[in-house]
Amino acid sequence: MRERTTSKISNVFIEMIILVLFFSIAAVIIFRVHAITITTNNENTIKNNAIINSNSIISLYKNGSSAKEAIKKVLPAKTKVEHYDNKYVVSLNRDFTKNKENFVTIVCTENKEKTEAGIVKSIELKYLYFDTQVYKVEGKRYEEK
Amino acid sequence: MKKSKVYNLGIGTTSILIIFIVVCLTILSVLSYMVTNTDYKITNKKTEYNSLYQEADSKAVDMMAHIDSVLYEIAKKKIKVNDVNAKMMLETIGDIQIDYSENEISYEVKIKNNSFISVVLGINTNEKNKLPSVTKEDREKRLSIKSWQLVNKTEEIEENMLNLWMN
Repeated sequence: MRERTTSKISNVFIEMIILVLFFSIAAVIIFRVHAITITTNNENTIKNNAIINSNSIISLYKNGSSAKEAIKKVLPAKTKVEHYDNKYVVSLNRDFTKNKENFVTIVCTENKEKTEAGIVKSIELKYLYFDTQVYKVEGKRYEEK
Repeated sequence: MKKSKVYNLGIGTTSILIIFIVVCLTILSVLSYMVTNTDYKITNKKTEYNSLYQEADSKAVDMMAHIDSVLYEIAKKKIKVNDVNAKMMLETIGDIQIDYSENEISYEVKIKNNSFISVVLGINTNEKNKLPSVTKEDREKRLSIKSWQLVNKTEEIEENMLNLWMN
């Protein structure tokens, strides 16, 4: 009788050990897949927002606004725009709605190329997600002298 | 004498339960990954097309600047746009169509496959001497944008399409 009880307990114990091992391995794989999914999803959101945002900024710029004006019009109110020489830097959250979390950094570089007849003005927009460049685009406009 | 019934879970029940949970979690995580991956591919195509569009648009602006510099040269030399020398200078630009009767220059910049940016520019000349203007005093702009649009050429595709609907 006693032998039977001991063997039953040892069987349950072995099963539990195997289950814990199996579950931990499975959980690691599932969490890994989940983490990749979250990262990819974040990147997707940022890229989609970057396309909309860059198109708006570039179309305003092409219609005669300065780079700073275009950025301020497109981004939410009270957004801090840091200015270095010909560069404008803005830090935003994932959804481009707040200025507080530094998920995304937009670096806007304005360049001017003078010709004899006029000036070709261009802006280059770079979207960085934690220092990794996610999207880059350039827009140009031409002004006669 | 009645024996009380004891419901004992067998040894394998917990294993089956855990395996079921793990299988469910795996299916859900794989499905969510697949959806995100499809989104990722679509987003990549969008970003690629958008970059190509802006690149083509920049090329169109560069072309406009080039045309304007040639017009500026023509104006400085005081040659009328319809003059042979002016025509020769404009034709060196390449890949543009010039309509001298309408004073229009048109060109296309390829974005991808069948999509193009089509640009039509009007050449503005001084009413008195019919020259393209040089300084701000004697003019409106040398070039005015008449149209700047995205064109999809689908003729070739339509020709090759099969008419599957037979009433």
